[in-house]
Amino acid sequence: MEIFELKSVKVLRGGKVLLGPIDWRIEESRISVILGPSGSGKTTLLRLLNRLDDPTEGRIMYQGKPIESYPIPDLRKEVGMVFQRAELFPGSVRRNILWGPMIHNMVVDPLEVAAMVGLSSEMLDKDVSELSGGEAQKVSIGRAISVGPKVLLLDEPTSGLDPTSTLQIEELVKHLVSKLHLTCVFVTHDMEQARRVGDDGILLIEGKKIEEGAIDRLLTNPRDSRTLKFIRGQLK
Amino acid sequence: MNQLVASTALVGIAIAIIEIKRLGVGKDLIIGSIRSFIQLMAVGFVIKFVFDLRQVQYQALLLLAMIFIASFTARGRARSIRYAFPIAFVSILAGTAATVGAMLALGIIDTRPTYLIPLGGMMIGNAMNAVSLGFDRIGGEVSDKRGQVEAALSLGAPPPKALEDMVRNSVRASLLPLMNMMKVIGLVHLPGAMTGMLLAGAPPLDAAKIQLVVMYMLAASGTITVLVSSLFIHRGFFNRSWQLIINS
Repeated sequence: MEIFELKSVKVLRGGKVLLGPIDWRIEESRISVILGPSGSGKTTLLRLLNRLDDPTEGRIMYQGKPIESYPIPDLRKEVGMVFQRAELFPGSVRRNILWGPMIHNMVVDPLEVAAMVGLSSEMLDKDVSELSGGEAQKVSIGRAISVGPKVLLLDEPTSGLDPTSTLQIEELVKHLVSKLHLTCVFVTHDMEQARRVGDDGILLIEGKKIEEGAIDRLLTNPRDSRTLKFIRGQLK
Repeated sequence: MNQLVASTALVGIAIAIIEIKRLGVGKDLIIGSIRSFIQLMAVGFVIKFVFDLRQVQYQALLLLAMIFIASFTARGRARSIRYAFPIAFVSILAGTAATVGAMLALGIIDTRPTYLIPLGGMMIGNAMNAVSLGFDRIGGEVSDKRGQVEAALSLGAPPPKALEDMVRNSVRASLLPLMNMMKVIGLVHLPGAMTGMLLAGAPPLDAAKIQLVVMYMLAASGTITVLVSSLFIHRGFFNRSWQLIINS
């Protein structure tokens, strides 16, 4: 069953089409990848799902109802987001993990959240300025899951991380998706990463959806010549 | 009149030196001098007119006009903030009304225009500086920390909560000049009201007492203005859907 359905979604800025029209169904409890080269509109599309932006045209349905029919805090509590850079709040790891629950008047054990994202209890009182890139991104994921979301949006969460940290974050995401029964939308420009983490996804080029389907099929047996060019690194 | 001619001559000499040394600010100084002359003389005439009317509603109108101009000036510092003008107007109005109202209620001043206009003007000017500094600081902070603000929003935080750290920093920054002034008052410079009274021949202790009252009222007007502005400032950055909008 789909958790999100995008119907002819378009984003325009200053009369220029940045994205769309996009039609896409995002299936529940899977990792869907938004794949594409830089500037293809991946982040623009992802932001619509948390309503950090709204589409100029078209509709987005969430759990069968128009996304705008949900109160903003409720929607954002259910649809968590992790950014390219960790974007942590100043202060301790504990402050970051408890920030969301405080907003929603929830009682959460920070130790439990830290453990879920692979951080030790000693890390909780560490200042975020002392964290490595990989640790910071784990805290950022912990912050997002601390309010118990149904969906986790990740915007190139490993850009700028070393290969080991990248693999750790990918494993963590897969582990959380299966343990917490999350639906995940994962933005990446890296085909190998898409293959490693994704179940299915779409390829965006210049704001247009070129192809969609199971990631393995999309990358091994593309139906569109532009997908083939993207795979071969021949896109202009 | 002689003093005016003498001081104009001094500015002329300063401009001549700047031109000879080719420091490149001569034009600005000429424009600034002419502008100050026109503004102050015009204000002199307006104030004289209001003084002659001797009716409190005209004084209130003049103070409102001053708040309008101050808000417009503060808005100039806040191109990235939507609704900067109404936020500045409401904040400066609140700071000025609270302090001038308190001075009137406590009998420190009465409604004679010789009190109301200059003191009101001082409160407005001070409030304008505080709100401008606050705008400048928060505009910069929100641009620099856009990611952090959106991370807070993405968790479902309401806009005032998403801006909390930045608002706190901007309140601190906008009150800093006032705090500094209070630290060194009388030690580094004699403030305006006291200087004016001394020049007019008032006894130094009386001048100091009045200056103290003015000082505390300035502190109060600045603080109230900044606090009121901090209550509304989130409206300058977010739309109804709690999305961050930065004017470009």
